[in-house]
Amino acid sequence: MIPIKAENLKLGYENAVIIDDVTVEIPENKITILIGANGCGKSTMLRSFARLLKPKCGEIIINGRNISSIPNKQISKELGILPQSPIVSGSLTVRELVEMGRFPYQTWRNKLSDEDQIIVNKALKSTQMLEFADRTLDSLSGGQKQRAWIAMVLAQETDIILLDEPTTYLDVTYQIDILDLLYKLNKEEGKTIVMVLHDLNLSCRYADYIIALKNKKIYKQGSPQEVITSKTVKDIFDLECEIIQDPIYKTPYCIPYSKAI
Amino acid sequence: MTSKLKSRDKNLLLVMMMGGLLLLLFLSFIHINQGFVDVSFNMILESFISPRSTVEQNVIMDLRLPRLIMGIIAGGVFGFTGTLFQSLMKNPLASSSTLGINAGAYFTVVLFNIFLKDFITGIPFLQALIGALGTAFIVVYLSGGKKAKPIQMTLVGTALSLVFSSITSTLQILYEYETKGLFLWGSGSLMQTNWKGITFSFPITFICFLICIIISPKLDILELGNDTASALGLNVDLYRYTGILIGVIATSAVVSVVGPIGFVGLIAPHIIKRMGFNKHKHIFLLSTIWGSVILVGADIISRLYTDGSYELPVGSFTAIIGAPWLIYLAYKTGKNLSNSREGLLFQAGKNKISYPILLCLLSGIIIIIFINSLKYGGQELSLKEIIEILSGSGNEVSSLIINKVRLPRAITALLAGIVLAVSGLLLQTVLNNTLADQSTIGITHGAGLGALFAIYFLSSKSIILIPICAFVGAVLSSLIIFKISKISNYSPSMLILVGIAVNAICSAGINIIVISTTVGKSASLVWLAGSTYSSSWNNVTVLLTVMAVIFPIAWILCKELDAVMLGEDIAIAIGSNVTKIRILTSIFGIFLAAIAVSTVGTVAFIGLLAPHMARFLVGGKHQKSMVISGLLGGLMLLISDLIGRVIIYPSEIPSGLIVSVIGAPYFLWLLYSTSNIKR
Repeated sequence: MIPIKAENLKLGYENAVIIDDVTVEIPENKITILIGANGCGKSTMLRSFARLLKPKCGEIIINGRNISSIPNKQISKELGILPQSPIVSGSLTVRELVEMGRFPYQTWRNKLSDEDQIIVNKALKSTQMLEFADRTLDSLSGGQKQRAWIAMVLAQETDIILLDEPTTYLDVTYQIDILDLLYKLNKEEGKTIVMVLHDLNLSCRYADYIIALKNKKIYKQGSPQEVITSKTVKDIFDLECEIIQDPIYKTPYCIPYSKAI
Repeated sequence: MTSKLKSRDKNLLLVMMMGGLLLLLFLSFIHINQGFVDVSFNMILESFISPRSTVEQNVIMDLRLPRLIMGIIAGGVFGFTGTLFQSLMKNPLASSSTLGINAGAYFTVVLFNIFLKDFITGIPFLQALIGALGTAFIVVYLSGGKKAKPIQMTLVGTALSLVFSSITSTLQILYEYETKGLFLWGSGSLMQTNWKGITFSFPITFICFLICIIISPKLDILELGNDTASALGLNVDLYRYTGILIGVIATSAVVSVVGPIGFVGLIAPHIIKRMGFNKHKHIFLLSTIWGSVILVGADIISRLYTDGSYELPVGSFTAIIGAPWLIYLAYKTGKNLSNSREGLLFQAGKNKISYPILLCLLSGIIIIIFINSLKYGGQELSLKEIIEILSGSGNEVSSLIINKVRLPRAITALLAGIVLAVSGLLLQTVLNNTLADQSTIGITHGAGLGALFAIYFLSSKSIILIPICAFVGAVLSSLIIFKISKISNYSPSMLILVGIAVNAICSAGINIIVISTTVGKSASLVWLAGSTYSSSWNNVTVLLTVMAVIFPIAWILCKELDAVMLGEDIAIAIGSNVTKIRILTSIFGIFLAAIAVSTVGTVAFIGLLAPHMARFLVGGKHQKSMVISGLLGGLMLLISDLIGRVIIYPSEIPSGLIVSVIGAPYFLWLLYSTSNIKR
């Protein structure tokens, strides 16, 4: 089944239209990465997939059902999202945060069941956060904090995970760290992952499928090899470049030309 | 193109200046004609040209002209200092009232009047200056200094105002005689009986104004941001701090003469800026002129409603005119405020005490204080006597004291404290700010206005009607606030802004009622300050019923609030219906608060401090913190009631004020710690 499908999607705020009449399907069990210039609507589209933004027109279909007809808690069991750098009180412990991921499974009275605890521990383990579980968020480094958030999303046990720029503000070490984690989740547990990423070369390395946005529309979509060409980069970023093959990972590698040197 | 634009700007500047001056002249003429002695235009001219000592001329020269000129000066000063504060603090909401400067000045003046009367000779400028400077410093420092966000700074300012004004009211009740003349001044009045005020304030404020004009090009550069300004070679800190200093001095100089008058400093600069002026020189000039226009106009209105036997404070009228403006402003900017992605930022202690131990500890303390509440008072009873009475025996007089007076009173204090604290907890999470409480969303002031309405207009002393009116007032004012905030999807900042405005209108109404009526002034001040004085078993029944119905629902909501606390995006993402939960929680929070306020009056701080302490002790989980904050709130009001009752027996200090005085130090620490909360 197609995990996420958008039909004639029109998105925007107030009077501004950001995405106009886009129809797209996200492939199952793949890592899909949205790319495009600043303000092209990547995040907006991602947010609409997670019902954080209501479309002006069009429909979003999650696992075959229209998103507006699914109860909120049910969506949270099928689709998890990590918004862009969320801010919560640093006084929460990692475990407290991850436990919130079990929220959609709880009714108003029951406490965390043993099963919930097992799932929370599993999420902590696969993000390597078990040893930090009782630390407060404000005592963590940027990369650890991001892993804690991902653990929370994992605890939701959804097959689809959306992430809005999960590597922003992180050192390059942590960037690789986070992307490796997502890659493993995709390969080992078959999660469908959709994310917005800024780094073109890392996108090519980790993505199975790339969707490039420009002018409120989808400019091109497909495998990194299909999408990332010097023409695409020229058109969506207005940047002259040479695309070579990454000597190690054999994926497209973009080398921008400088206008001065 | 550029030159064309420039000439258009020049024309607008000219029109606004000449128009403002003409309007001011016109209003001045009306202003001087207002009163009980009719004067003709000729007479006014005559008193300038050939002064004689007729009654009319004396009225003009000694009463009306000083009042008018003081109005022009004060309006102008509020106008340009408003501009100054807004620019320097990079805060469109900054003005001497929202920064707490007015309340601080009032507080120190009252303090000096009581304890150091000898130091006051004539105009209390220095006293006001100390208070104003101190408050300005505290507000800027506590809200995070240079990095302070506008909303945070405004919240700190209004919260600090609350501290000062509650302590001021305590002092006014305790020292009714010493502070007799200060109430009218305290709500702002232009009334003058001689030229002293003018000869005093004019030179100071004029120099401040000139300095403002001189440094105005520097302020234009400062507008680019501190870093850019420094990069351009501007000594940012120097101009920032001298600017604030000048603003505070000028404000104190007029406040010490006419009392704190709010909102002029907020409206005038905004009108000018909205018209497209962006050079500080122009804004200073125009907001001075239009500030005068607004204040003189407000004074004319305020005098329309007097019959000579009393004087309505013009400060209340500027609030009534200015508050809708603030709402409009919030409305305009509100749409952009809606997308806040932050969760509730609170602080928890490093070493958490275990929950059961805390529970036992608090309950134990409550029981001890409760027994002491029954023991002490006019007649001290022994523990043995109390047990006898409660078990049905014991002598008649003592059992009357316990059963009719002390027991219902202690229980009311306990229950009302619990209800206030729980409602505070709910509201803080809904408003997404740990500095919010019942007064933020208009409940306390709305209830006060409702209660005073009952006391004066329905001339009611009935125990039933006052709470009902208070309840209606509370619900109405918070409904208005929520209705307006709907546009921004109930964004916290919007709620707070509109809350400040509605509160200002309500307290203006309260001031007008208190001043325009002569009977029962002290009694209503006591009610407004929050009192457990006349608590009866009726109160206990009401509170218990409400708790029995609402607390279980609140308990269920608390689970959902754990999700809401993480911020809107995350909360939706993990499956919470944020908007629905917010509305439901608000309704119950408001209802609880309105009930508590209608039984014990406007008790401030419990709704603010108890939830905060609870979060600090047991962390963010709402079900735990609901229990703990309830117990803490009950304990606080119980202790305050006991202290207020016995400390100056046979008189009483309203328990609400004791709460404020006890809570103030903790509150200051809270403000400090929230300014550097880690995320």
